[in-house]
Amino acid sequence: MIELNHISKIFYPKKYKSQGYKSLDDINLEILPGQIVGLIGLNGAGKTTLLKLIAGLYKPTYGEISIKVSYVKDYRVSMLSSEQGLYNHLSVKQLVDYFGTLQNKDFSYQDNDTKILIDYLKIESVFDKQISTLSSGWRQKVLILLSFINNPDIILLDEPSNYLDFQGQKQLNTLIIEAKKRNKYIVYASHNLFEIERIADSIIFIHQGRVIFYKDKAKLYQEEKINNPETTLIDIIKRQVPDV
Amino acid sequence: MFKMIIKIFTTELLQIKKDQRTIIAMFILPILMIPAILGLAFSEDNRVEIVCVFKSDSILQNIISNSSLAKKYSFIIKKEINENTIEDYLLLELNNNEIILLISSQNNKYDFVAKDFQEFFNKQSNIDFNIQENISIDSTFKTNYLDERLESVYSGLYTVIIIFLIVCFSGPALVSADISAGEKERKTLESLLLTKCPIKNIIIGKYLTVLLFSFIPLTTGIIIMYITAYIFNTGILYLQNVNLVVKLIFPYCIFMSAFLLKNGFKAKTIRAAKSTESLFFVFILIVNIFMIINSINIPIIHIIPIVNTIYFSLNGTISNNLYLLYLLSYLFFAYLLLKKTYKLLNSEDVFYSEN
Repeated sequence: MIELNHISKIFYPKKYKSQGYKSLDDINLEILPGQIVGLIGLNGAGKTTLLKLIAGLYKPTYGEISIKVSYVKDYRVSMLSSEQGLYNHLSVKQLVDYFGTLQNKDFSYQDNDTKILIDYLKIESVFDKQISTLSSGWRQKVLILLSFINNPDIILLDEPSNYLDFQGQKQLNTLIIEAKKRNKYIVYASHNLFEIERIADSIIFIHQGRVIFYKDKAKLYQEEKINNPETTLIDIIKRQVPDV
Repeated sequence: MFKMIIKIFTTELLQIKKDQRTIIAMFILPILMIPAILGLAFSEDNRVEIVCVFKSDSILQNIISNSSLAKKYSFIIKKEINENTIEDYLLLELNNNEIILLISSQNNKYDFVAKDFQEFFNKQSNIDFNIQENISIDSTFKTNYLDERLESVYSGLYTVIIIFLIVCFSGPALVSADISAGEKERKTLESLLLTKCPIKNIIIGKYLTVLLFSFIPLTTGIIIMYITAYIFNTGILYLQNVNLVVKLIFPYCIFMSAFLLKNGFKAKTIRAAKSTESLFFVFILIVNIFMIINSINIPIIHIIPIVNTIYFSLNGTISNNLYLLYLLSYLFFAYLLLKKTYKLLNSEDVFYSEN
């Protein structure tokens, strides 16, 4: 279980001087395995910061994050962000090989799991191409490949469907659902409410660094749609925070 | 572990390979600059001056001990030449390819000849002797035979070392900015850190890359120095100075690579990293000017990086004990910088630290 207890994150860039900028404020969450947790919020709400805290890239200013993956001792985290960079001077093959070596794994093309993933994402056609020559969509697919190739226990996705065509989006969704079936921890951050409505099992709404609600999707809809069956996620958000 | 380090190292090399102009500059700079400067410095008269003086109690010794340059090179060689003739003291002073022998004799008699020295210098056929007998020790002696020599040290060995200080800094500076701050700019650092590859391995892999590009101009320069020595027929004494260059610059490269890597990871962008490097470059030049103007000789100078290199290059020599201290101080500071880099990469500061 991933547990966040009273997490606050304050950044101290020079322009804020000693006061700092509070990105997250007293966050309490429990994320269970085998669930797709949708993370929504406006720009600057703190979604990416939250993901980076879970990934261990950032450390909380206050509070504690506890991650206990029951079936493994040393869990693996992957984070996929559309803003993520790639090593442009390498070919896709070299990149896969590079990340494989750094993770002490041999992601050779002969490896069955790797082959399945490459075939599924249809990356084989660009495998020998240099990253710099790829389109944004292909680059995003390469990022998806790198995120899923090591069979991670915690999958953090930040706007993962950016640049993807409908085929890519379908492939991504399938991979996420497969991971869910394997009891992985999945947090899916997106601006696209329809995407979240479709794929998430539970939804976290963050506004100005605070969690406004974190509910099971079915329960949330049940509670909010009592009077109006046409209610959408945006309506629910507007009810909670009228100025959104 | 080694597999990871080698992988990081080779991947960085692939990245740098793109920027071929940098690599070419690293080879070209020493190839062009060193022969030009050495050519000027060593095309002067390279005769060996032998200055013979009478024994007059300890006047010669006083001069030696009062000259900051002379005492660095003094040692007794009386047995090797002619035990019967030379009473107590010989001073051998080496300035690049110049030799001055100051001989204090018991009586007004010099029964040793040039061939004695020839034997001493291992029959170096290219050494030409110019014997000046009966020189009296007066106020002009020091100026004529000791102080003036200081200028050739400035123009010869010192200039070469300064070139090395610059080329062994500017080449790896470009590389380090690209492989450290460049990771942030290209937004690949997060992916790299998430691989759970030990940070120690990441640092070693990248450090070796910077170190390699620090050794390229050094190695090229040393080869060029040997070629120059061959062309100008400068002899074994000049080659001893080449060895001194290697001794002084090698630890500098180790330290500088660590400094540049740390600076790169601290900077937010490649541009910011290069900006700090430029400031550091100015610092090296200021230290140089300061050291030339002020002849400082305090013990702590031996352990301050860069300052100590300039100090020893100005003196033109370094004893074994001092060299050990010199080497250890550079290794210690390099270790400290790498440790700081490790700390930086282990903390989130690496993502938003600024210069």
